[in-house]
Amino acid sequence: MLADFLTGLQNALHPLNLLIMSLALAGGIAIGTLPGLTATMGVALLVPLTFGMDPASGLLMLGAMYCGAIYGGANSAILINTPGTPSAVCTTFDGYPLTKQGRADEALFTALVSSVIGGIIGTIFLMFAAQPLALVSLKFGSPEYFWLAIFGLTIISSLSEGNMVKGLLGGALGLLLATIGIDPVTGHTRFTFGFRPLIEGVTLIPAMIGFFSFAQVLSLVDEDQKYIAEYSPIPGVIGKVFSKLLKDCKNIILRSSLIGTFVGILPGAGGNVASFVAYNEAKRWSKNPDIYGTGAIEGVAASESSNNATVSSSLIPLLSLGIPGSPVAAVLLGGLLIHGMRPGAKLFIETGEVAYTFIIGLVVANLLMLFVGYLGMRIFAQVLNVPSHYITTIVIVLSFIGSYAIRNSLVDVVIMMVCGVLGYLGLKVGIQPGPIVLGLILGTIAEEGFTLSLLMSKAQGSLLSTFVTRPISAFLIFMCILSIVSPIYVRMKKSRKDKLEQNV
Amino acid sequence: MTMRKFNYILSILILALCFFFWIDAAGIRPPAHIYPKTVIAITAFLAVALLVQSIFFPKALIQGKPFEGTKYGRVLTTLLSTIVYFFAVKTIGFYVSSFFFLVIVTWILGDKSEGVKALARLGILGIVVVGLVYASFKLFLKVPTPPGILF
Repeated sequence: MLADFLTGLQNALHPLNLLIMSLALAGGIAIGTLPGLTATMGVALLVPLTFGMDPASGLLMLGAMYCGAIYGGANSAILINTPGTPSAVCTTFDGYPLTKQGRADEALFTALVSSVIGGIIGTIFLMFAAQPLALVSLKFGSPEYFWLAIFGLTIISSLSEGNMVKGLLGGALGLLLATIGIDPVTGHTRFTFGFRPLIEGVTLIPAMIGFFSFAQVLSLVDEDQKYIAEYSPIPGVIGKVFSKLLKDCKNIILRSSLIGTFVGILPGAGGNVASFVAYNEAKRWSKNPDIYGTGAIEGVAASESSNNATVSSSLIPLLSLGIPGSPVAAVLLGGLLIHGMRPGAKLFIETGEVAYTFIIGLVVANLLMLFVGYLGMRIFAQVLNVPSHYITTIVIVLSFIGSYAIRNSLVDVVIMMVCGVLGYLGLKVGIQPGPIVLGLILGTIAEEGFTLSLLMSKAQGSLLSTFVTRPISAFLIFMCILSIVSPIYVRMKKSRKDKLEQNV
Repeated sequence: MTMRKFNYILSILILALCFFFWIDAAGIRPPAHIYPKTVIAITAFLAVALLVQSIFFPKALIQGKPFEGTKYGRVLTTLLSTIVYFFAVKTIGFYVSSFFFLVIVTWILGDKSEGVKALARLGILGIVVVGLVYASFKLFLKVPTPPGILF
């Protein structure tokens, strides 16, 4: 193992591989930044390019592209309130308010550093704990997925600004939107109201582009400001961010990275679920939860460290069991097979040298991202110096092609436009897009988990033993209760304290 | 119109939506009907909660008039232009439509005091943006664009 490890390190640090990874990272960041273009698309695009390459270099290129694309989503989320990938939805909650405060540099650099740390922590787990973690992921059945989704949904109470009922209503509407189309268990078509193209359901990415990008465009047009926000580069931003992260965010980044690592190993979950859970936990553990959503560096750090931690951990079931747990892992599986590698128990025995090159390469790619991402950040931030009426039309064109590209369907463009108008009207009447998109993301997981668990309980003859008494389910139920009760407790405590202070 | 009144409208619209979904859910075979019906019931309950809150506890609402100061002209122009752009993309083609959309809508939304000079600048912007989109999406990423009569 040590010999393979050292060879892997040597290969990963080869100048040619460093160059390949840097280019793939730059491409990944650009793809991640553009809404509608996904990490899966970017990695799939590069697979044919690896045919003629040395297996190690080819895999390093794919890994770097994956890291860059997940991080890249943060740039547009922070600068124009448009998450480039679903994983970056939570980054908008604090990233965009920071931009509006003229602190875009801080938000961008926080996202970069947090992504790098999250990515490295996830890779360490991939390197040293792949086998036991993969076995944990196998213990996750339908009831556990159902409770995980419910746990994710409990964040809605934290996302509700001003009016809790409207926040919950937004989440419920997202869940309702997710039920449109074919039922995942019986195959029954529902809620299409005779409009056949809806059979395939409301696709997440076009809906997300609509609720965030198009709604944001309409808001910008409505605001009629010359620029999105005031921007001038802040001198010493690197030192400022590093000291803030070291002082206030080290626990948040560590916790969020661990959450990302754990959620990432679960097939079907991923960066979007991880970032919501991590954001919720960061807010719940915070002494000042009220700062979240108003431009808190902590919020950006939680979201970005967790979603990048899922990059490596999502590969754990693939590399140790041969099970691709995410669309990107499935594409990477193709890349591995092309190069004669067989993911699973024998991967590290038969092709240990290449496997370790790939894993160590992910650490190196994350470190390289610090430099490539920093250069990119300087370029992307210039968007704020472009008049907003230029931005609005360019974003509409990109939203069109981004929505269309998912399934090559104009129906998705219509979905994007309708969701955009609804999102804009929702913003006006106090329903934020965050809870709606959260409902849409978790709705499918919750429904599949619920219905399959129900069938399981019928076979087992006990609803209680299926839904409640399984150890992981019981833990998740406990977390759900904690997540709901603790903000209420904190709020009550705070109002009591305020009343006491007023009386004094 | 105040937020309170908007909440009445919103609640009623959501309740109507829930009603239509509930009727449609009647045809779903068990046990697949439980989840969607539960979601519909929760949504309807929350809509009623909003209505009750608006009637009896108006202080809990965000005060003010939600659409006050809205620049309807600009928003509707953008919206209608986008709908026209959608049909143009469908019939003419993505790249040609995008070029005209970028030039015309950016000019409409921008500062018109600059006159024809601005239009010339926007023409260059249109060519550059469409060129970059073509190079990155069509040539590099091989992402198909909506087909049309022209390019």
